[in-house]
Formats: sequence, C-alpha cells, structure tokens
Amino acid sequence: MNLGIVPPFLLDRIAATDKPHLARAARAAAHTLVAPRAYRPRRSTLELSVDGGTLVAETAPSPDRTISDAGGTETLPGTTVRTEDQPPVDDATVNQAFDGLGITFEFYWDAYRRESIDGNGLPLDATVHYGRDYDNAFWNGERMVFGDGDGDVFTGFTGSISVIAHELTHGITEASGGLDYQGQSGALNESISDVFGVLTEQYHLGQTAEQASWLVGAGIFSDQVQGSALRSLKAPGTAYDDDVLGKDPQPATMAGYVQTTEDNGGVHINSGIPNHAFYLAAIALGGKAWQSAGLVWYKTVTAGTLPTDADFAAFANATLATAEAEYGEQAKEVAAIRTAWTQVGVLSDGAD
Amino acid sequence: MEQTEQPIISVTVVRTGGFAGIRRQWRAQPPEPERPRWVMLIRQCPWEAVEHGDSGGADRFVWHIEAHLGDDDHRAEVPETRLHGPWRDLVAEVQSFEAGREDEREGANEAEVEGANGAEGEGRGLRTER
Repeated sequence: MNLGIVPPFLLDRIAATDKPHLARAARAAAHTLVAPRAYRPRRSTLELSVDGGTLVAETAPSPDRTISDAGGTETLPGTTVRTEDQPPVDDATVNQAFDGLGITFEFYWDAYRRESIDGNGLPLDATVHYGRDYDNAFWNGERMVFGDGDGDVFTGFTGSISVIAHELTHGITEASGGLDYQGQSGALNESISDVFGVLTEQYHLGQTAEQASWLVGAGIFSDQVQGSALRSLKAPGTAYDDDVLGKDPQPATMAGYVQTTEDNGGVHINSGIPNHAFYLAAIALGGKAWQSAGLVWYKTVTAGTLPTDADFAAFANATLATAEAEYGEQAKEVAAIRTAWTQVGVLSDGAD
Repeated sequence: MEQTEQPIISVTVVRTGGFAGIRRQWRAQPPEPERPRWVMLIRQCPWEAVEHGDSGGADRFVWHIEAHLGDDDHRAEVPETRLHGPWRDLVAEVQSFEAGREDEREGANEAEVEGANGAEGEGRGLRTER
C-alpha cells in the first residue's frame, strides 16, 4: 500500500536526474523511495483533565520503541527484549535505552512538534549489549546501537540522555537531507547531535541555559578516568585530561581548528567550534535554550535547504537567515547569533 | 624459508572516531622468535585492496593500521565495518601484545610495591598505551 503523497514514478524520475541543481532533491527522492511506505498505525496518548466545568481531552503522539539485545555479538538487530507496551525488564541497560528514547521523542515533540526521527512517527529501534567490551554507541542509519564499554574507560552508554539524544539526532539530520560525514560538514553533523543531545537533557531536567552543565556524556566514564564528560559546549577542550586518554582535543574557536585526516577529518574534534557558538548564543539569550537558539538551529537543520557539504560559514549564515525570518532582522536573537559566530571566528566582524 | 637476518617488525594501530571521538593507539614490536608469525599476520592482510565503501553510519570507528617489515612499509585506513578476517586478527594481536607488555610492567611494579593493588583482574592499562 502506498501512502506517500508523491507517487513513486515521480520520485523515480527525480532520483534519476543528473541535473546538478537537483542533486539534493535526487538524493532525497532516492531516500524516500527506499523508506518503508506500508501503512503504520500511529500511537498517541490521551490526556483528560477538567478545566472549570469542561472536560478537556488532549492527544499527543507516543513513541513506538523496540529494544533488542545483541548478547555481546555484533549481529544486528539481536533478540527483541522490550517493546512499547511491555513493562520494565530486569536488565537496567534495556530500560535505560527505552526511557532515553522516550525522553528524546517527547523533547522533539514538545519543543518542535516533530514526531519521531522522520517527523512521521518512525518507530524507534535500538540494540544494546553490542559487541564485546565495545566502547561505542552509534547510529547505523536505521537504529541506535549501544556497546557496554570496556569497564576500564567507559561503563556503558545508555545511562546518559545526551548520548541517546545525540544518536537519535543523527537520524534527524539524515532524514532532513544529511550533512556529509567529513571535514566541516561532518563536524556540523556531530555538533548538531551534541547540541540537541544537551538540549534534550536540559529539557528533561527543566534547566535554563545558565543552570545547565553543557556536558555531553556526563557519567559514562569509569571512575578511573580523570574527566567529567566527553565534551563541553561551554568550554571545549576541558571535558577530560587523563593520563591514558590524553586531553580533550576540542578547539573552541577557528584559531584552534585541527587539520587532520583521522576521524573523518576531525569531525569529533572541530565540532567544538560550532558547539561553542551555540552555547554563546544560548547564554546571551538566556532562559530555556531549546526555545531560543535551539529553535533557530532546529529550523535551520530541518528546512531542507542546507547543502550536504555545508561548511561552518554556510551553516552560520543559514542560522542567521532562519533567525531573521523567525524574529525579524533587528531582533536580539539575530544579534546574539551573529555575535556568537563572530566570537568563535567563523564569521568576521560586520559580515553576514 | 630460512632467513639469515630477520627484519625489524613493528605494527601500529590507531583507532579514531566513535561517538567519544577519543584517539587510541596500540603498538607492537615483536621480539625475534615471534617474528615469522607476525610476518604472516601482516602479509595476509589485503593492504592493496582495502574495501572502503560504506562507513556504516555516524560515530563509527576508523582504524589506521601501519606495518613495517624491515624496509617494506604498509599502510591502510580501514572503516570499522570492514575490520574483519585478517585485519581483525592483526589488530587483536597488536592489542594483546601491548596488554602482555603492560602485564609484565605491572608485575614488576607489584614486586616492588608488595600487595599495593591487591589481586584485581585486568587493569585499565591493559588495552591502552601510556
């Protein structure tokens, strides 16, 4: 059954075009063609309350989560261990992943009225206990995958909401057209995941920009590691300084930009620069960061107009254009965002 | 195949990327009696035909592997999704080589400071280079 609004024959034509100016549309069409189009019943929650003498019924979409267990292998998806309607299980890792996905789903809906990764209620799938001593969590294009850590450096990844929201946000970036995972566009891809990772945590804790820690992955290091978290948006380069792991290598400004062939051109290193720009804008605006700078970043990422090879300057200008459209050219939001990008050296003084 | 003089062998493995973005490095310079086995481990890797292809999504590891067999140098960048077969064997050997050296060092330290660390299992230095 085809429930898409654009018929497949048209998507085929768009996907097959070789016109350079339609390259982005071609990729999006190809992506849409491979996406499952079968009918999916949607879940929603119904909240009833009494307002004076009136019964108020409100509905909100609910996530459709499935957690699988790879049992220490690297075979995906693994065995299904908890689905949406099932109660908590004995394995805390499974429940943490389940809850973290739920919190992230709620954040995106409540803050931006986005329903799941694709904005269309896509089920949220995750696999835990992937690999042996596996020191990583990743998004494979279909699901979030969590290792257990080796116990020496990492104690696991599902205990951190910022980690879970980081991975899920990779899915949102991809569904919005994507950012090439290399060099500056790759560092933007990483930064967007960090930004919405910390915003999900701030939303969950009800924190303002001033109250928040701005740390990604707090609490996932073992107590043998000298460090508070993996990355800091507030002070890139200060999250850890350990005799085994070395020092957090993130720069906060373009003056420290790291040229490297490792890590896909330093995508987890130079992300410190756009991360810090976001922090500066959020602090300048104050209040709940997901409602101000976060809204501008969200609209910029999901507008579908960002080139997949966008560099820092292109992204900075795109956030300014979004803020101008949202708040007006003379708005404090525009000024704060321009100042932030200038402070980290991505835009120069007086430049748009 | 008898060789009069065995070449110096060293293998360096660097893992970058991953969600944490933390760079880790392991190195092995095996002593002479172990060298024939290491020559085999190195030679069975498809250095000239690394499959790049799909990196497997965001936050995956990338492995940079470098081997020196005397004057014969090999270098490859292997995405996590392609790290199987002989590549995986080589990486595992380098990691356990270094773990073995850490064991020796820790053993020596324990002999100096008797009972300082108790009888814990693996220390965190085992998988890392200090």
